[in-house]
Amino acid sequence: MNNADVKLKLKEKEKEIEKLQKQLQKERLDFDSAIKLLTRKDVKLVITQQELEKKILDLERAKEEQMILRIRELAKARDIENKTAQLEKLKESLLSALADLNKARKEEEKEKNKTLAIIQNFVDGIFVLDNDNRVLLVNPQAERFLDVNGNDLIGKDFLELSHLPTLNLILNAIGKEIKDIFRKEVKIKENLILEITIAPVMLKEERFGSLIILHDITREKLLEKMKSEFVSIAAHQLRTPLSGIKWGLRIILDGEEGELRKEQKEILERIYQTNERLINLINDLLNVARIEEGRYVYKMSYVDIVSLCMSQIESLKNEIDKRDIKLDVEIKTRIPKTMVDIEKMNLVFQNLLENAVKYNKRGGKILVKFEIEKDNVKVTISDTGIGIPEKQKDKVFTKFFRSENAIKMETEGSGLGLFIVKNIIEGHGGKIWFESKEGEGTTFYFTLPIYSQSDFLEM
Amino acid sequence: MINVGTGKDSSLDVQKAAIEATKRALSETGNKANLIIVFSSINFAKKELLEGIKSVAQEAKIVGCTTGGEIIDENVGEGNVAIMAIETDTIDVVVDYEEKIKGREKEAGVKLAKKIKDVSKKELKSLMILVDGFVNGQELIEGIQGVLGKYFPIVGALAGDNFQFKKTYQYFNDKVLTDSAIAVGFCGDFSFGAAMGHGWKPVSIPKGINKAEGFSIEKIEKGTGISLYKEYLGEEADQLTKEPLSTISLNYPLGFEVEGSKEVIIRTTVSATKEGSLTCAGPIIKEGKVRLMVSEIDEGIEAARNISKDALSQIKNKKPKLAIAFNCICRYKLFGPTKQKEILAIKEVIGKDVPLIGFYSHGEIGPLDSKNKDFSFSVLQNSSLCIYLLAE
Repeated sequence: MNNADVKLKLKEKEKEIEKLQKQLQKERLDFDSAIKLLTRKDVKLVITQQELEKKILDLERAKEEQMILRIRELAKARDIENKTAQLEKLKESLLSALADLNKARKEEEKEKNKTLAIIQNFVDGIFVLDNDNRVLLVNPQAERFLDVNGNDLIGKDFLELSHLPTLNLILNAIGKEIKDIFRKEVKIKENLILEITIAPVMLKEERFGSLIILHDITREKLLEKMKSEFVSIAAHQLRTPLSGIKWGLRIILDGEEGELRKEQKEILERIYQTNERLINLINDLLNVARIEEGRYVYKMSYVDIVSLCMSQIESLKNEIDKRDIKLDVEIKTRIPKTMVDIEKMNLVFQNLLENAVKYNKRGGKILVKFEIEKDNVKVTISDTGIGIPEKQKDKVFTKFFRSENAIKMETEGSGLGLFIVKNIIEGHGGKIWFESKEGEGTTFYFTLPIYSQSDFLEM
Repeated sequence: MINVGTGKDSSLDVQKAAIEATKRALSETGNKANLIIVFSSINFAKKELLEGIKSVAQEAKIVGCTTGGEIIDENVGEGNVAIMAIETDTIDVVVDYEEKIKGREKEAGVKLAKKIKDVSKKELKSLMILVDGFVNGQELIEGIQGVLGKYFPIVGALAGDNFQFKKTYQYFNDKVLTDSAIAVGFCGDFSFGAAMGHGWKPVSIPKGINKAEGFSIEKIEKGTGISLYKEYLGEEADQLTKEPLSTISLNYPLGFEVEGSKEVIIRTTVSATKEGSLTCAGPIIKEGKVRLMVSEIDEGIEAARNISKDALSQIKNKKPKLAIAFNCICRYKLFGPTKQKEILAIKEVIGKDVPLIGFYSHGEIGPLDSKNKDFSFSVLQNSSLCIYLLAE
C-alpha cells in the first residue's frame, strides 16, 4: 500500500472510529436516559417502599395500640368486674347491715313497745314532758284519773292546760313551773286523791324532760281517815273514863276521903302517874288524829311566846332539879308578841323541853335561846343528851318514831311528840329542824313568823 | 497472649451500668485489662461512667466515645454501655489525645501522631482514632499521615450523639472530652486486618465539580449541586431541601472518583439549600468527578461480608482475637429493622465467638482500597463500614 492508500484507509478508519464513537456516545446517552428512567423508578420504588414500611410500621403500631387498647379494655372489663364484685360485696354487706339495722330497729321497737306497754298499763298515771314542758306522752291511767283525752294534750305546754278542771288542780299543786316534786297530794274529786311526783328524765347525764307520776292514794287516805277516826273515837271514849279515874284518884290521894296508909298512898300515886301518861298518850293520839283529819284548828292569840316557854320550864322544874340539870335561857333582843295558838305552842315547848330533860345526862345542860332572824322569831333548844343516831335522823319527825337509844333510856313515850310539834310549827308558817350528834346532844331550832295583830286581821 | 472480653449494660444508673458491663467484660480476661474500649449512648457521657469502669479495672487505659448506636457481639441498639476489655502482653497499647481540634484538625493530627510515635517502644503497627463527630476528620487523617506516612494503617470513626446532632463526647481515662481526638497505637508483634467498603454502585455519568467549599458543592457541570439529583430522581430530589438525612440522603449518596482507583469516596448528602447547594457529611473532594450512588440492603449486607473477608485475609485467615466495627449512622437508618443482619454477616465471616465491639458513627476511617496497595491509604468515608481485626 502506498502512502496515499494508507492515508485514505486511516481516514476511513478515523471516520469509522468517529462513527463508532458517535454511536457509543449515542448509546451512552441512551443508556444514561435508561438509567435516569430506572433511577426515577428506583426512587419512586424506594419512596413507595419507605411509605409502605412506614405504613406497615404505623399499622403495627396501630395494631400494637389496638392490642394495648384491647388489653386496657380487658383490664377495664376485669376492673369493672372487680368493681362490680366489690359493689356486689358492698351491697351484700349493706343489706346485711340493713338487716342488722332492721333487726336492731325491731329490737328497739320491741323494747320501745315493751316500755310503752309498761307505761300504758302502769297502775300510776304518767305524763312525759320534754324540756320545754310539752306533753310527749299520756298513759291511759292518767287519762282516766284526770278525765282527759291524751291525744288532745300531746305537743301542748303542760303549764297551759289550766282550762281543764282536773289539770288545773294539779297545776295549782305544782306551781308556776315544772320542778321536781315528791309526793304532793291533790284531791281531784270526792273519791280520788292523787299523790304527784315529778322526776327528771335523764339520758346519760342529760335531762331531756320530766316525768309526772300520778299515784292513786285514795284508798290509803280512806284507810288513814278510818284509822284516825277510830283512834279519835277510841281516844274520846277512853279519855272520859280516864278523866273520871284521875279525879277519883286525886280525891283519894288528897286524903279527902280519909287518911291513907303510906303503902296505899304509894300504890295509888303510881296508878295516878300511869293514868296521867295514858291521858297524855290519848291527848297525843287525838292531836295526831286532828292533824290528819285536817281539823287542827288554830285559835290564834297575840301573845309573848317567851312567857309561854317560861311557864313550861316552870312546870318541868321538879324534873330538872331532880336530874341536876342546868337550864339557861338566853334572850338577846326583845322578842315581840306574835300571833300563835297558845294551846298548840304550849305543846311545842312542852314536847321539846321534855325531850331535852328526859334524854339528858344527869347534871347535863339545857340552853334555850330566843333570837330575831329577819321577820322570824328563832327559838333554839339545845341539850347535852344522848343525841339522835345518824341513820335515824330522817325519821325523827315521823309518827310513832322513837330512836333506839331513846327507847333504851325511857321505855315510855308515844313517838308522836315531834310529829305533832312539826305540824304545829308548819301550821304557824314556821320551820323546824335540828342538829344532833349521838352521845353529845341535840339542838332543835324552829322559827315562827312575827305577825302583828293588824297583819293577822288583814290576812 | 491476647485475652478479650465484652460486656454491655443498659441500666439507667450510669455508674452501675459501667460497673456491670466492665465486670462482664473482665470476667473473660481473668479480671485484668490493659485497655478498655467503651462506646456508649449520649446519656452515659458522665464522669460516673469512667469512675465506674475505673472502679473495677484500675490498671486499664480507657478510651471511647459516644455513638449513634452501639454494637456489641451480635447486639445492635441504643441506650447501652458497650465495653471491650483487652488484656495482652504481646501488644503495647499507647494512648493519647488532642483537645480543641475543630478548625485545626490537620495540626492536631500531626501532634497526636507525633505523641504516639514518640512513646511507643515497640513497632507502631496501626492506629485507631476516635474523633469528635463535628470536625473535619479527613484533615485529621492527613495530619497523621503527614507524620506516620500516607499508607500507615489508620482506622476509627467520628463519634455520634444518638441522632441529636448537637454534641459528641470522647472518653480518655478519667476524662469526658468533646471537640477532641483520641488515638490508640497498637505496637508490637501481632497481626491485624483493616478493611473498609460500602456496597454502593455509581449510576450517573460522572460530573465535574465547578464550585465547592468545605463540605458543600455549589455547582457541578451544567447546573447546581442539586441538579444532579433532579436529573436522575426527578421531583423527589426536593426532599433534600426539606429535611436533613431524608430518604433521598440515605438512599442516594454521592461518590467522588479518585483518579486511578476503581473505588470512590462516599459522601452522604445531608441536605440542600434552596439555591441548590448540597451539604455533605464530609469534605468535598474537588479534584474528582462526582456521581450518584445507589444500592440495596442485600448489597450492603453482601458488602459487609466482603469487607470482613478482606480483613480476615490480611491476618491470613487466622482466628481473630477481637473485631472492631465502625459503621455509619446512615446504614443504621437505612437498614432499619434489618441492621442486625449486617452484624451477623460480619460475625459469620470472622467467627461467631470472636469478641466484637463497634458503633454507628458520623464518619468512618479506614483504607480506601485495601486490596490495591497504591490506594490502601486511609480516608474518611460516609455510609461505609470499616472492620478492624487483631490476631496473635
